[in-house]
Amino acid sequence: MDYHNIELQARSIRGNLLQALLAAGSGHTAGSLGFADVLAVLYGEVIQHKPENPNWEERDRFVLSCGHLAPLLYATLAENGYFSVEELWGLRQFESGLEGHPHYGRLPGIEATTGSLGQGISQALGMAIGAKIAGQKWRVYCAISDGELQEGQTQEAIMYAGAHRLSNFTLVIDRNNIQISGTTEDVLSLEPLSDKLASFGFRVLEIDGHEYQQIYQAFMEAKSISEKPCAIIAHTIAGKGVAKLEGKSEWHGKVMSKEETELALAEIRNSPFKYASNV
Amino acid sequence: MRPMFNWNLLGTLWKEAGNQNRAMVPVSQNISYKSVLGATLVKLAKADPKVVVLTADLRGSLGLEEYSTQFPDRFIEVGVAEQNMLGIAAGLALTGYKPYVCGFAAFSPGRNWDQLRVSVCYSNLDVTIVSSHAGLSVGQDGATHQALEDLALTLPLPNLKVFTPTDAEELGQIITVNHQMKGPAYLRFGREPLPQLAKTQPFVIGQTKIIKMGKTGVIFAHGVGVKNGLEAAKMLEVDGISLAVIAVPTLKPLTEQEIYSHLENKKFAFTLEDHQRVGGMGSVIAQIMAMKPVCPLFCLGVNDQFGASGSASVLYQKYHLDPKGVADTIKKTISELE
Repeated sequence: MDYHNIELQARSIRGNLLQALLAAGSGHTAGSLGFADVLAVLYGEVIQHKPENPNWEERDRFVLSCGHLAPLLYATLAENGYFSVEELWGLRQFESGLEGHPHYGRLPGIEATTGSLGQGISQALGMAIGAKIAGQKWRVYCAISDGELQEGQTQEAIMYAGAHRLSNFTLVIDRNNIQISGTTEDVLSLEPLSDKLASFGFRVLEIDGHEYQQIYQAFMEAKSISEKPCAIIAHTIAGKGVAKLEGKSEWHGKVMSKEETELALAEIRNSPFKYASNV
Repeated sequence: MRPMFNWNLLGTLWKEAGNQNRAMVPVSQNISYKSVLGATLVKLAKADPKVVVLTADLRGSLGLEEYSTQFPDRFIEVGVAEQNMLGIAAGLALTGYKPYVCGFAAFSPGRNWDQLRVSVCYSNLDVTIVSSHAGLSVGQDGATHQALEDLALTLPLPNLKVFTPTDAEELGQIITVNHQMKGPAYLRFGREPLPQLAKTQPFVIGQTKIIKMGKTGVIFAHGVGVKNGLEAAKMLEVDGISLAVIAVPTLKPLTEQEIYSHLENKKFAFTLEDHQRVGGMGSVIAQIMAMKPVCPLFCLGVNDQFGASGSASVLYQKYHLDPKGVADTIKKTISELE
């Protein structure tokens, strides 16, 4: 596993999504930055896919149920060769295909329409059920945000997946403890989250959502579990990578100014690498 | 001291309630929608391995037991979770299946309207939502279970076809025709078995069916409205009022020319449905007729009220949607026109 390479990709993804947000003038900054490390690993090393053949029938599917992290999804897809990076500057512009929340069919790599919280997880579940009916081996990964768990539909889906032991279904929770109005624990407390998920029939793994080794190993472990679905609680820092944004709920749906973005890009570029190059 | 329970009272109540509920036992030649629904889905599933049926704890009420026995792998029981049900259907459609989401119109759509809008319609997926127990026809369960607004919820959604089968046989025809089509569809019908009024004419999407000819006016109707409208029209013939009765099984896409073709030389038009007056077929036809006013249009339905418990026949009477109520309303309306 080339962690240095993943780190490079994550930097590139962060830089590109910030530039896209600047071009758009609106969008969701904090969550997109915070979850970038998880998606860098997931797309870079975990899912079986062919970017040049996005409809390859045996591909693993990824559904971004927390659709507001669209800038992150688009930047990750571009990073992985689904389309050119230049497309990103059309974020949120009319008929660019890069809708504010992912719209199925508009870009290669978008597996489902999301944006209304709680809906992607059921769609991902439907895909997992479809794979089981046909006896196919591909897996379904679904990212939800912690705030999103307040939507009742997510509980319906979690209940179903656990009751039916859908082992080809892996849930990744972006646990950054923020939502629009403050911390999740202040607005509508989710804890004890791990216990709740386990009681619904999931195998629960808790990781630091910025540690590539932990992220990778959690996905590998999820793949190896055959008797129940797996939920990975990824503890992340909203706004990770830009110090002045980190941990602040007010940056959930705000974008930085041109000056702030330039400083942020420099900060990301100049931050020391955690993993040395293998070369 | 607490009064002793009156064991004799039970016998009296039982007899009286039984009389009211027995008042409208379905006539044997009426075929239930659910029996045809179940049989049609079994037939489709045999021919097409992509058919999957979903339900939220309602397989019995929807006639799906036979299907679930024959195709257990392609039968999804989600429990009482309509939102998850529609999301799963969307996910199945995205994976190449043709899901049929079966439920009660009061809860699906309703409970899962956002899911219908975002997961299904906005993605334009091949999901068919089949909703039974629409309207006052539900009877004793009462207002919470009587969907009087479901057409108002579904008609405005882009990409969604909306069908209102006249009878059980037509339900089978619509499902079979729609199975070959792309995109989402919504089918709604009542709980009560109805006479086969439309069966001699094949179903063609967008087209209406002439159930009765008439010279002076026309009643557009769907579901039980066709039966009640036909009986009302026959009563009014005796009074010298000649009304055509037109069944409208496709509300969307409804060819406008279809409506105008029945209005030639007509002095007045009525719509009749087991739905609120606002937002259903009445509104669709009113918008069409408003473009080129030919004659006045009066929309009959539930008049901005909730339903109630009671037998379906009593409810139709109380809400003036039974044949006599409809005939009286039409007679009064026409007389005020002159």
